[in-house]
Amino acid sequence: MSNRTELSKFKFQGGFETWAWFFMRISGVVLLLIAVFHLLLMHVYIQVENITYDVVANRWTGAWGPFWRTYDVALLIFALTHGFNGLRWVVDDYIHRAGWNVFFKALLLVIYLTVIAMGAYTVFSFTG
Amino acid sequence: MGHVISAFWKGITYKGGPGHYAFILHRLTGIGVALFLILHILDNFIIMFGEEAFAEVLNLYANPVMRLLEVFLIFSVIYHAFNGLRVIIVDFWAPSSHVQRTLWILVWIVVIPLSLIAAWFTLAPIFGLR
Repeated sequence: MSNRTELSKFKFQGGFETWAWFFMRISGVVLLLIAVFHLLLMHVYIQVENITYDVVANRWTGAWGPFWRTYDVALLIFALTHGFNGLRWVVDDYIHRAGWNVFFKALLLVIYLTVIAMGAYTVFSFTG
Repeated sequence: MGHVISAFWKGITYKGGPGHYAFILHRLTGIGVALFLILHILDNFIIMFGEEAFAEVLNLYANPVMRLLEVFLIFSVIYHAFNGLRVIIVDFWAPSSHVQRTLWILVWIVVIPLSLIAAWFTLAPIFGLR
């Protein structure tokens, strides 16, 4: 029996975990485009030793500022949500004791919300 | 703690072949990139404290040890991206094991040259090259 026949027996029933699984695939493709482009732009094209305050300031306040701010916020939200859902799966895989499992997942949620707020604040309120 | 170690040990000693190694590397690179992401948002936040403060942060990344870690970061992002694409293709297409083997080889055909190019641009300045 091929894999295809076996997979076809499964029906999409929704629910949080199914959507989380689906989100990882969708955001994965988005990040393959925007995170890999960001990486090649900063590390290969611009190169890290050439990054200065002015490089970042010019990008956010120049003519293309609104585009780059939107790009960076999209990167922030997709990368963090993808990354922290991944970490949540790691916690579920290795930390089975209920109390610690909940503790680490709550900790992840707090860190996730804090850094997303800090990142969004930086991107939106930077004036140069 | 012993429980966590045993769960982790079972996870890495299960003899699953290429798919298993792909999974271990996917997980390690994912955790690494996620941890860097937290650091990266904190370093970028410092730009709000002005030009001098941000220059000091950027200076930390200029350290040769950090440049070496940067190579690991670049490899991690590229591997995670292209192995992730392989996972998506396998999930939705469910190809034969023969095709799955080809996909695994294709991942490395893309990941190795891209990582080497990025590593050259990252490490060459340390050695006074380029």
